[in-house]
Amino acid sequence: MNCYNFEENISAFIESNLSLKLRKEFIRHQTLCRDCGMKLNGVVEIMNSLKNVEAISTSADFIKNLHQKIDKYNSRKEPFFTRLLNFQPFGLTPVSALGFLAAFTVLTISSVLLFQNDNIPQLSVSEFSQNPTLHEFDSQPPLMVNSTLMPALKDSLMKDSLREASDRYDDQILMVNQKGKTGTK
Amino acid sequence: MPDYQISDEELMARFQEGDIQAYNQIVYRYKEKILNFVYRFLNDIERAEDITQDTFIKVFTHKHSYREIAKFSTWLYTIAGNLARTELRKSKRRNTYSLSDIKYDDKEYEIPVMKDPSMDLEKDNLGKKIQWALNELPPDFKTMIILRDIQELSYEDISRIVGVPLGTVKSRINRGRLKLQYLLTKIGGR
Repeated sequence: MNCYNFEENISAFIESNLSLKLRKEFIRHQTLCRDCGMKLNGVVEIMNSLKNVEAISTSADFIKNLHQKIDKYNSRKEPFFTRLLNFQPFGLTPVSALGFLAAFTVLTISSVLLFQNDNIPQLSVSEFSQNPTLHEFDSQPPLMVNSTLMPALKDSLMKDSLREASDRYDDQILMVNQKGKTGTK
Repeated sequence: MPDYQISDEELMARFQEGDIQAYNQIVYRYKEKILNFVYRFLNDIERAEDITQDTFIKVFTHKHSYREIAKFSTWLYTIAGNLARTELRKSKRRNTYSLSDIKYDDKEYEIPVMKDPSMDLEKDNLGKKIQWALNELPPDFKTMIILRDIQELSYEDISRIVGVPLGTVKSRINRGRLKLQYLLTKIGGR
């Protein structure tokens, strides 16, 4: 054991917190190193002095002054926010109560926003079936509101896109033919 | 008279339910300990008493902040330590001494910081030299030494109070003691 290790273990030695092996090394170094031995004695004396340091007592008015300060605190009106924080609804602590209230508020607002009317007109089935052209599906089969809606919609959309592609193809053929008539003579 | 058969945590639980007598019991149990702890920190009896009263007022006004997961004494010493440290920082910023502070009564006027201790402390006893040496330590080391060697708290309690790992507490207390020993040797205290 060197002097550095000795210093590191002084308190542990005094408080009997060293292993047997370390304790033996510590004691051997203490007997061999005079400075370390003096250091150990100095620390022991300081610990004893601190333990026996003169204790002071509170003054005779201590309790009276304390109660006066507490009475003064009790007599003043608490700010609203402080009263709110100390309020314990249903036995919940203020923080828990506020957390519950915040969660409830968020849920309520989210629900309202999700189910809110977004100004899209309601689709009336009876009205649509009587006047399908009102909804500009004149070239398409009428929309069905049952489970066959999606395939029918898909079908009509495909027909639309095919029709457009076919129209474009016809236009191109017409252009080519016209060019041919004018250019190949 | 304080009733020591009831634990601190039980008293605190009763106080939280509104029993003021339980609060008074707590004050009687801890006022001397907290005063001595704070006094060693500030080295001023009047300020130490003010801080001690502030500590108990905080206990009164924040009673619901205490949870029984920790020892009551740990919570109490944490409050006292924080208030003492704040007061120490304020006084260092002020760092002025006025003539009106001199008391013409039995109380001694103690200057917290001394530049040449050997001249001023030549007639003083070891207690005052130790107090001077304590004041020379960094605040964290000083707190731990006071809690361990004067208040006789366990290393685990000290670790919870100052919020530092147990190994660090042991190391700092050891180094604090060595520093005290060095300082006292330097001024001829030992």
